[in-house]
Amino acid sequence: MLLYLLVALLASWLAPYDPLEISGSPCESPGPDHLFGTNDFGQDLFSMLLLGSRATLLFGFLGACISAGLGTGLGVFSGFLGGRTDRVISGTLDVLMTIPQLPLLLVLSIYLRPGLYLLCGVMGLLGSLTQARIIRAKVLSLSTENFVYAAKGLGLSDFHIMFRYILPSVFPLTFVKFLFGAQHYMLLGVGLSFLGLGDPEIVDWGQMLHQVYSGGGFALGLWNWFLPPCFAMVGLSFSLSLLGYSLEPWLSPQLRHEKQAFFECD
Amino acid sequence: MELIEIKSLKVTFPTEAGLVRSVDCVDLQLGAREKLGLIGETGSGKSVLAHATLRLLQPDALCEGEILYQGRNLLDCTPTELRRLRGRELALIPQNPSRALNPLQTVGKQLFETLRQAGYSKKEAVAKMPELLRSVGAIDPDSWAKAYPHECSGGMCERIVIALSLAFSPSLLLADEPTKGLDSLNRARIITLLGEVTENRALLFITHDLEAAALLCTRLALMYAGELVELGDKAAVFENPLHPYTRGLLFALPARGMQPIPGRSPPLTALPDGCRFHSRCPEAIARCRSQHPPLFDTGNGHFCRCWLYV
Repeated sequence: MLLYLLVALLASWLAPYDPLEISGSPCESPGPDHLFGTNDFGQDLFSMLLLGSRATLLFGFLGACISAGLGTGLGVFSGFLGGRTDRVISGTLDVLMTIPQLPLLLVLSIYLRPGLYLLCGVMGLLGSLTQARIIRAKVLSLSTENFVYAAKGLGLSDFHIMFRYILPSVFPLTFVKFLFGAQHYMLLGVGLSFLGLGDPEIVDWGQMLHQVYSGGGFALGLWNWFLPPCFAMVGLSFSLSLLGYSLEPWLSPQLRHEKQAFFECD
Repeated sequence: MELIEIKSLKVTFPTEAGLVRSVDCVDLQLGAREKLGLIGETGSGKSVLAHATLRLLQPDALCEGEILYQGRNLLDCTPTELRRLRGRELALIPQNPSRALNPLQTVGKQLFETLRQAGYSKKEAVAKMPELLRSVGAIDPDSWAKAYPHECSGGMCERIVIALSLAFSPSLLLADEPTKGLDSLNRARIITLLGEVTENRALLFITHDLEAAALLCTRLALMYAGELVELGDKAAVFENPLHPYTRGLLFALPARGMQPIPGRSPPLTALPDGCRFHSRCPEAIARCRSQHPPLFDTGNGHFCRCWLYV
């Protein structure tokens, strides 16, 4: 995961060529000059792969941030405060949830030609609806827990209970959703660009695959053209899952404790 | 003036099986430094009474009557007013202390933040924390502060919960079965501790543990099926129990023969006519089956809800 982030940050220095620049002859095979060869315009595929990670990662993480943040906030407020606040929030969520996500994104990107950020925003907003639902359910069950009751009995303020008692308890859930969300949005972003609906100025992996498709790379069996972005995607998804698992004990003191006990047993 | 005065309090819960009458016409007074033991079996309405006093019941519970705290009716207070009263004036020591602590924060952090909410500055809170922990019997407050609730034993959790409730130094403590699930040594320690910390405050001690109540309280109130059946000084109740239910409870004590009361308490959705205890009462007369007895004053502040004392 760290490797991916580093690559995305340092892409401009690492990449041997400008990905849009025509640096060699078309359809070169992999070699010392062009690590993964070139595409049908003669653009360097290795540089495209490196720089493409930027847009893909940004798309995924920005979308996931928006959805996890907004969703958790809404869920905690709605679940904990209850009453009218809850009815208004969940009612709105129910209505918005009926909007199908992918078609909306397709229509938006076809007619409005929006930038990356707007698409992220819309996706995050839609994703936050399910997130809010899940968090609200969790908060509702937490609100009847003895320790929340006890905190109320001590006269602690609602905000204090929400931030110190409820939020840390739902945080692991939020984080897991965040990682899955990131994975989901990256794939969605790649999918959109593969359909040719992304920003043509910005190189990402989906666009690379789109070019393979339209440039006849599949038909010609140019594996050096389509395999690298595919493997990059698989690797990224995999590392996100691993990250999720490895962070679990850090998120929950109970698990951390158990893990310690486990190691001490060894 | 009495610190808290509960006047004909009724708490009902509408359910599918019918109206559950958890607390029915309870009248209680508690003086400024008085310790009252509220005794009853599971489902007799004692915890509901405590939660009603703090207004912590779920929203569908219906409360009627009056709960006057220093002359103010708690049932008329707004949520903000209530929040100011909770903790600062009336504090709850909840049941199941190990589940009453935030599982994701260390004990120290919880205490610190509660103290901060109580209006202490950061410095004061840091200074006050070990003092508070020591006052509930921690020999090494620092190691306690670093522990998570799941690392603490039942007795430790109970002490921490008591420490938390003392953070605001309230004038009335409502202790909801604090000796439940503790071994006899810890139980004795907690009782002593509760006695120490309530030296200058009032205590409503809710329990089914008659002996603990006798050690800690000056007055005892017995509840059965949602209503008070006997109320009086500790000595009077123990030496001269009036209500057959009280006598039954006393005979059920290990020291007095361990004789259980036959039968079980009636469901709160379908309370019997007449006295609610009549089906289990060895001394029931014809009148007990048809007429519901009021609380009779038998003199010297000793009250009893039984037709035997007309």
